[in-house]
Amino acid sequence: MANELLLRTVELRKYYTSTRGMNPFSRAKEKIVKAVDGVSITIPFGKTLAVVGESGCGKTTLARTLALLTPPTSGEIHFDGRRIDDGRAKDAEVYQKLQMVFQDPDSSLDPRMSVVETVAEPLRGLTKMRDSEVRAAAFESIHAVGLSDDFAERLPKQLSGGQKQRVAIARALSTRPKLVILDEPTSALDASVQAQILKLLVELQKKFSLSYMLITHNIAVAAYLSDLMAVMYAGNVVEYGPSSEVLEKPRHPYTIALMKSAPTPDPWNRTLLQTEVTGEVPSPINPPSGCKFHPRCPFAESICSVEVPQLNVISEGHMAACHFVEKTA
Amino acid sequence: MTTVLELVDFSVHYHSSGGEIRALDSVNLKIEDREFIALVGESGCGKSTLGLAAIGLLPPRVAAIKGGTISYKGVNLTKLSPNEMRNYRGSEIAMIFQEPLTSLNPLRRIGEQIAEAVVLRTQRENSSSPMKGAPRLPGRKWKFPPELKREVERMLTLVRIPDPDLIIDRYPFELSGGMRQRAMIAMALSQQPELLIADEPTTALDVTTQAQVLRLMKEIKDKLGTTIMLVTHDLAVASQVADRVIVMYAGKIVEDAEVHEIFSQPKHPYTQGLLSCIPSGRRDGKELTPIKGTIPDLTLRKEWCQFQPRCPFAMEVCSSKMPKLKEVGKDHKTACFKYGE
Amino acid sequence: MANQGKPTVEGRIRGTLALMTKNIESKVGFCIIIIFVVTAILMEISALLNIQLTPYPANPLPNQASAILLPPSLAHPFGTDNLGRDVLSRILVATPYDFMIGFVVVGAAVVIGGLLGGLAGLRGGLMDEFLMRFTDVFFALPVLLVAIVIGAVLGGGIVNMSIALTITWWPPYARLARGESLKVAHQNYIEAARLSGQKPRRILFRHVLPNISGTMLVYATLDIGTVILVYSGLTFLGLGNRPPAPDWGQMVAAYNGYVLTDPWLAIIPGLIISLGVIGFSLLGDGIKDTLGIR
Repeated sequence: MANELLLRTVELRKYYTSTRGMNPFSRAKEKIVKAVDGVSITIPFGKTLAVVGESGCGKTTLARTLALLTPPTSGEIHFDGRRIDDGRAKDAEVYQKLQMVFQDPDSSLDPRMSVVETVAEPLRGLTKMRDSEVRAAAFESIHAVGLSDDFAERLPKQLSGGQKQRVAIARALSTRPKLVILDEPTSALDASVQAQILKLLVELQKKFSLSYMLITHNIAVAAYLSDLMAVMYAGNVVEYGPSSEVLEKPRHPYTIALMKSAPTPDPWNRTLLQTEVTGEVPSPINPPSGCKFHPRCPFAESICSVEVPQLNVISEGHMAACHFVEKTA
Repeated sequence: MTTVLELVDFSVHYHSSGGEIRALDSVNLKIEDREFIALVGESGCGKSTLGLAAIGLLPPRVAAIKGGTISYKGVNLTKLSPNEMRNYRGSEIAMIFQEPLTSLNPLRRIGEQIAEAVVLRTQRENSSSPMKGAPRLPGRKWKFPPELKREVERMLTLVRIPDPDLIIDRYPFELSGGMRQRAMIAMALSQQPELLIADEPTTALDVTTQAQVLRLMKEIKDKLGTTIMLVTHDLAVASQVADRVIVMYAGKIVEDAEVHEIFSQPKHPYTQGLLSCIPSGRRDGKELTPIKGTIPDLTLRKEWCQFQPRCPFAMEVCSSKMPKLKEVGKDHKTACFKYGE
Repeated sequence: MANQGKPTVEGRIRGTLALMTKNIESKVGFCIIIIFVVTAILMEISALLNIQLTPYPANPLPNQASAILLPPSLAHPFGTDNLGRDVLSRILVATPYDFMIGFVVVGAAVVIGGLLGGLAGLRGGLMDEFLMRFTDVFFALPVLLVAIVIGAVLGGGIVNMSIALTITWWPPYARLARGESLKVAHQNYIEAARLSGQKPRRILFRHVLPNISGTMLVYATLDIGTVILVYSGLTFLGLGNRPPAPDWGQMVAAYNGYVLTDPWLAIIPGLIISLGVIGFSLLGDGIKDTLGIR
């Protein structure tokens, strides 16, 4: 019924165990960090899903697990029609269609490789193209991100932050993937550079029919780029739906607090000063029982500390994981 | 309304291997009592330098004051000796930084660090010295005299840190980022300064924690009457808390206005550019228009408008003369030839 | 465009040369070393071709010898020793061994240590543990002891001593490489390489090793001088080249007794050793400053 889904996860979990070291006799208890604790999201073809949340919510771990940089603990990942989490799909096949842009432009590029070498790397590693074809394709990608030919032989130290990020984007696009995971792509950039990169991402999405998964803590950026939004808290998705709905009519108490806290350039509407949320993000080793947000929730009742809430449907495609969604209507 | 801080034609240069950088170029600014000022600009605009200059913490061998004055309540800070400046630092002018781990001593407990600041204040007020018994080695707990302990707990409660009696014995690494920032604010406030300079205090914090800390700062201004100068790159943050916004570009102040004015009637093309750079939902219909070009090289001496190469309204005069800050509305100044010479 | 965007050998050499001569320190060090290297090469060629390039033979027959214990003069710039041999010639002839051993041992140490440490840092986990414990074993071996043992078992001489030195010399390089490699392994471009389908081996050679080479180079250049010093110590003890083959350390040992009567004999070989070490120190320091490594 809806657009075909490019990516779909089912109860994806990623747990880290803090090791006891090499000592087999050590009696230190193994601590389990539940970084991603049962996440089911979908990304349609050609659309952008923003995963927003604060530090420790698991959004970066989710991104890395989807990119197969770390194996999931349990759950399913379906990408472009096949399961990719069971180890049977070859990395090379997946990466031709799934790529990632990282947060820090300075560590994204090998300081000893020129721009064109960096952009060509996925082509060399994932395709069987001949050298001349590789070069031509790399140049196409370099142009697509708005850089001219004379950037090709430059080294990262000769580039500004925004230019480095463009190179990282060009590299991600060189194999013409279908999904690009963007991990805080503009957090390290100045405001005016950020705006340039955001516009570029929108252009590229249209031009190459890309899907994006945007990981960010910046609500404004998420609002600009995304069609769908998932709000994460302590390893779970607490609210999910069309971006306009989640932004303007949030129903989960955490989302409400988050939206109010996000600074908007509107001195007549100082929502930031009106937020009441107290306390801190819980530790992923020892999260609260039941609903992880209950210690900080103004609407919490006794059931909230006992039972983990499921995602309740609020309207078409809009869901929130709360026992009392009617309280926030 | 007394003037707390005044800068007159103030200039600071940095020596670097690439040349001399004009970090601040003839800056004119007046901050009144009980104002919440936001100093806004992108990286390299000089906002942090201004903050450091006000508290006398410019890096000694690298930075040089090239002209003009900074006055605190009429006292010319540039003429003070380091010892005299120390009398003002902490007790009259306090500063908090972006990364609390570097301003809190990681080897000493929170309670001790705040107590030190409190003791300094009582030493100023009367010359008794209840600092005895403070342990010299890290690890040992200081048994506070009861009045001192009560005062430290009062400061921690002021910044809304829960369970102050427990936090007193914690080390900085045991606290979260937001708590550390609040502990730093408590330390800064312990000496009851008139002026609090905050250099990007919330940039490294989560969104909800940032909201808590900013609300706290607003409360401090309202309840204690402290004048606050918030240095930030985020115009949206400024809009939510400040009374007045000062926009800086390439070492100069380009616009200075009350907060609602800046957002409803931005005069300087850079301010307008910054505002249209802020992303919001595409459904708003508001287009995101980046400012073309890049931040200029501050080592090149230019005696004309620094923003001219990127300005959509640039005229001939803009590349031959330097615009000066002038009034263009009630309490609204800007440095731009669009509004006359 | 002419080149394919891949780094050329010529470009790499040019780059390294530039790196080595950027500031005054490294320029001076570089000059000193070049003089030694050129001398070593010339001496080696002359030995192979059996031509004598030195002003006098290093091992003259009794009738070829000059007067004994002559102080430095125009004819004998470094004087003559107790057997009438020209000291300058002896020093020159010893250069290929005594100077170049530094390159040989450190070169081997860099390769062995770099590979093991680089791999350990990149892979982590069990591989890391295993490699580092393996390194620890060799770390524990004292240089002198190994040298003596090998001297006793295989005999002395420069080849055997090179082996002995290499065995004990590579562990610090493995540790250094591992530390640097750990830093690099966390960089996003390594993950990007994985996302580009690169296999771990290629990531090691293409991304990790080139990026740790800067620090390794600094450490190595500062270290070469130490090898020269240690080797001269070994020859002093009699483990190096057997007389009458000339050898700096052996000369220091032999001429020791003449310090009061014919001081030039005792001092000059030592000065030459020091000069070699200083040359490398200056070069290493200079490169360190150029690269901004602490």
